[in-house]
Amino acid sequence: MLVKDYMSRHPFMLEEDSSIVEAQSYMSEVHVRHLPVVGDGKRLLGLITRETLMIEPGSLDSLNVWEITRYLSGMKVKKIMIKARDVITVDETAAIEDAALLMIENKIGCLPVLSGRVVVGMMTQEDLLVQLCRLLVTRRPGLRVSVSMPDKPGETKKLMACVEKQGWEIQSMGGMPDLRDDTRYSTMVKIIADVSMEDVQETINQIEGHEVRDIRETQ
Amino acid sequence: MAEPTRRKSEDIPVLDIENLAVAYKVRGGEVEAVQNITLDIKKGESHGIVGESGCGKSTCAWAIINFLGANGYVKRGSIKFQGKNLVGKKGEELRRLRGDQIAMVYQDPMQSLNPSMLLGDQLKEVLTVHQGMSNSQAEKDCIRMLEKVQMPDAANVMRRFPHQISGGQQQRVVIAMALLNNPALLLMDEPTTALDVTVEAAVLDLIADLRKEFNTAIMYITHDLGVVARVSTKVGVMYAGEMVERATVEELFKSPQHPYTQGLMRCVPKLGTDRSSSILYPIPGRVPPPDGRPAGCVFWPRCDYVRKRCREERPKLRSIAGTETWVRCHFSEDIDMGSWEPPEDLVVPGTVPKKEVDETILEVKGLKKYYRVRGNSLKDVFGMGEKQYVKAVEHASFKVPRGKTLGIVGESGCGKSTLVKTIIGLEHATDGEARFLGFDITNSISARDRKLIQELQMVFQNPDSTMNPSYTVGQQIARPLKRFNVMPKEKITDEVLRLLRSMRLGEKYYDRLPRQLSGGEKQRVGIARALASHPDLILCDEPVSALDVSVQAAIINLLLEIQEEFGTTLIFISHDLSVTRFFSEYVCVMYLGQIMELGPAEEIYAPPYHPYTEALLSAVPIPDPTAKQKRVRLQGVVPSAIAPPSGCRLNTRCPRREMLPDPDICLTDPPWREVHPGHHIYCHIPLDELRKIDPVVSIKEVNHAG
Ligand SMILES: Nc1ncnc2c1ncn2[C@@H]1O[C@H](COP(=O)(O)OP(=O)(O)O)[C@@H](O)[C@H]1O
Ligand code: SF4
Ligand code: SF4
Ligand SMILES: [Mg+2]
Repeated sequence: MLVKDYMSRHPFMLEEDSSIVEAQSYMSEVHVRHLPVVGDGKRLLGLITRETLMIEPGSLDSLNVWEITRYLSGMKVKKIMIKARDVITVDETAAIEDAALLMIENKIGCLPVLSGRVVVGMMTQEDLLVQLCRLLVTRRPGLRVSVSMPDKPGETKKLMACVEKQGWEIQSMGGMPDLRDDTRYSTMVKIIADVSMEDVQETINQIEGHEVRDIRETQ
Repeated sequence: MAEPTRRKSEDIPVLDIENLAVAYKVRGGEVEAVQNITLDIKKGESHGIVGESGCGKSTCAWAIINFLGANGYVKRGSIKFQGKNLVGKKGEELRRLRGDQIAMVYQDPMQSLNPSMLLGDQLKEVLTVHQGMSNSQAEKDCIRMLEKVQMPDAANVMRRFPHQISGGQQQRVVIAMALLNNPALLLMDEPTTALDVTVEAAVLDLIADLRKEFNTAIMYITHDLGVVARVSTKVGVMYAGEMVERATVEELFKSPQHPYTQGLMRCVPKLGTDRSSSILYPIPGRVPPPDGRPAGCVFWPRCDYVRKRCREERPKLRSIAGTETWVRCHFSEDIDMGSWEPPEDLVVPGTVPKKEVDETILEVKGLKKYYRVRGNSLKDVFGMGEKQYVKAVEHASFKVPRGKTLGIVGESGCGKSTLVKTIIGLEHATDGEARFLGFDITNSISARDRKLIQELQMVFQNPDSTMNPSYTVGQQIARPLKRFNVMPKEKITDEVLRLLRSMRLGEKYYDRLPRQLSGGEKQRVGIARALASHPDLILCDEPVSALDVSVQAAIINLLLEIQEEFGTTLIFISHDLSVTRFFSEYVCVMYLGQIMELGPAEEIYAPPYHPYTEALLSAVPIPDPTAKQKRVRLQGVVPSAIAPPSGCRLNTRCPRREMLPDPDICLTDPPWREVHPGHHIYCHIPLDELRKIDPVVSIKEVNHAG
């Protein structure tokens, strides 16, 4: 699961000589909040975001309507963009969790994805949420079971072996440390089988140290 | 919970053309080459554009990149790329878009390659100059991309000039070059039209893979319905400058809505269906030029369903309720393709089985044709080098019964044309026997009896090359009549007129010059000329390859009709296996000068196959996206005919060699295995093994055109 597999390819881009009026209308036309600015060979020159386009109303105080229009229509993207050296980017070969970390640490919503210096895609928080969703969503109806287990090696294996023995199919699985109890680990399994919730709960609870915390049907 | 829905920004097409009209300024005014074109292509979609030549397909592509030449311009409408209108964009920004985000691949790869520059340098330039990449990194990336387009020996190709690789390889280099920029939009104008089916199949596989891997939006222009069925997700059908139908590829082939689309489907033979059910019905008439389009519906003069309203009111492109299909026809809801009946005056030949005759008209035994070539070394220049020969035809043996058709298929350079040239006497046989009507014909034409020449005529792919441009049609056809004293002088004009009529050309063509004829009309004149001397055998070298499908169907029917009427024997060379199957009783499959399989057509197209026949069949693009076709691909490239592999010449590329317990046996000459009397396969693999191989093509649906 690498950035290049999940980014949006062929992002919308701007030229540095475009006017900011153009940039603004382009942004709403194509429904995005971030536009990389590129030069020859799609090399990254900068980034335009909704925020960079917000013009401090105070700065226009002394101008009348006509002067504002002229001032704005003459202003180029390169004047207000975040310059390439200040743009936080990610390489296309990075893992998606690294991209997520970069966004969280820097409190940013989007990362231009580069190959060398060339823009090859964009990765937004939304892209990551979409992937998270895909990771957890089942494509067929089944049971979604949250299991709490001791946080030590071999426990997941026990759960798998138990499910395997019953002949149930696992559609997807994910886990993370329990945030309230650092000795335990929470795992979510999606089971597809012709079996009742009670049976599943009972069977899994029989594994030593394992406990079903939540079970529900999914479509 | 369902799949997350796509975001709005993802739904913005990479290319969005609305109501486009393109005009060319010509002497005395201008012509609108295309009108009212509306289409969009999203990321990862491959939009086919299909239609006959002159319908405006290329013009659409050129308009996008503003390559319309000095006299062309966008007259109306918009062309949005990634949400930005390109119309009127000039200079730097357009140049950058064209270079970095939109790539174009033409039919002729040399249009994109510099003949005097190493391929590696041309490829690397894309990365070093535009993207500022280091030379060593660029070298690595280029080799990787060449490997991705399945270029054999990629590193070596980097150090060659364009002319040192084959046309198919050049096209792969061009595609690799286009992809190095990772374009959002790839425009391809007939990129495989000049390639062999086997190479074409590999390029089409590649395009499908790349579309998915790079999420590229592709516009794929072709005249070939089979190709469009294989590469497209959506298809637009163009006719006389307009888009007459637009649908998903499945819908278009399942239920074509526009009478023109339906007509196109009835023109092309389809592999995998029963031969008798695939009668070809040409569309009468021809595409009008831009300045001769009729009022009302542009298709009405050729439409079987025309009514009053069609002549008066131009139909709009409208969507068919409950589908994703758009059509430009007033009445498509009322038109049921299944109940279409051919017009009564249409002659459809080939439906009655031919009489069985036993007379062999042509017999070839162990025929061999070598061409002497000079090498490039200093020794060769002084004539001291070893003599080198191109082994164009090796040990060919077959018989043709009177009144039947023998089809010869194989990739370019396999010796098809040499074989017929030797038979007709344009080349002198190196060795072996060839008897026509019992006469020896291993000598060249100058040594032949005039009677013999008269009985053996030829139709060429490009009739232009054999026509004197300053002779009228009448004179062209009269020449052989005079030369062979077929009839008294005073009757010649009548005979020419009769021939013209039987070619459905009409007397008004008598005084026309070749340049006033369309491709199909020229080919009719070529056939009339070949027929003039009442020959017993006509050799046809790719007679329909250069023609549009509707014209192609008419010419094929014409040849069949002639055969029915005069009992003429035909040898029919074609690279198109669907056409050959339709046309021939016997088929001969050649590879690198060697006959690989020979037999009745029905048997050639069903197992047991020779491994080469199997690969050829698997490559044929079938005009049916639901057709199941096995993927058997030949590896590598055709070896040189100067030093062909020993034993079975296919052994360097054979996909089935591994079936043998000892594949090295293929380095020795294979046996001729007899499937039935008259059906032979030249291969080491025993017939029982070959019989186990599944059929290449299976088509489940019935052919609704039949
Ligand atoms: N440079 C030109 N000047 C005048 N007419 C042209 C020019 N190029 C193309 N045309 C005309 O425009 C029409 C569409 O041509 P084209 O786009 O090449 O069709 P296609 O690609 O479908 O064969 C044809 O009638 C052709 O003769
Ligand atoms: S509008 Fe009329 S002439 Fe045109 S395609 Fe439809 S039926 Fe035929
Ligand atoms: S003889 Fe060998 S190389 Fe030739 S076709 Fe048969 S298996 Fe292939
Ligand atoms: Mg064209």
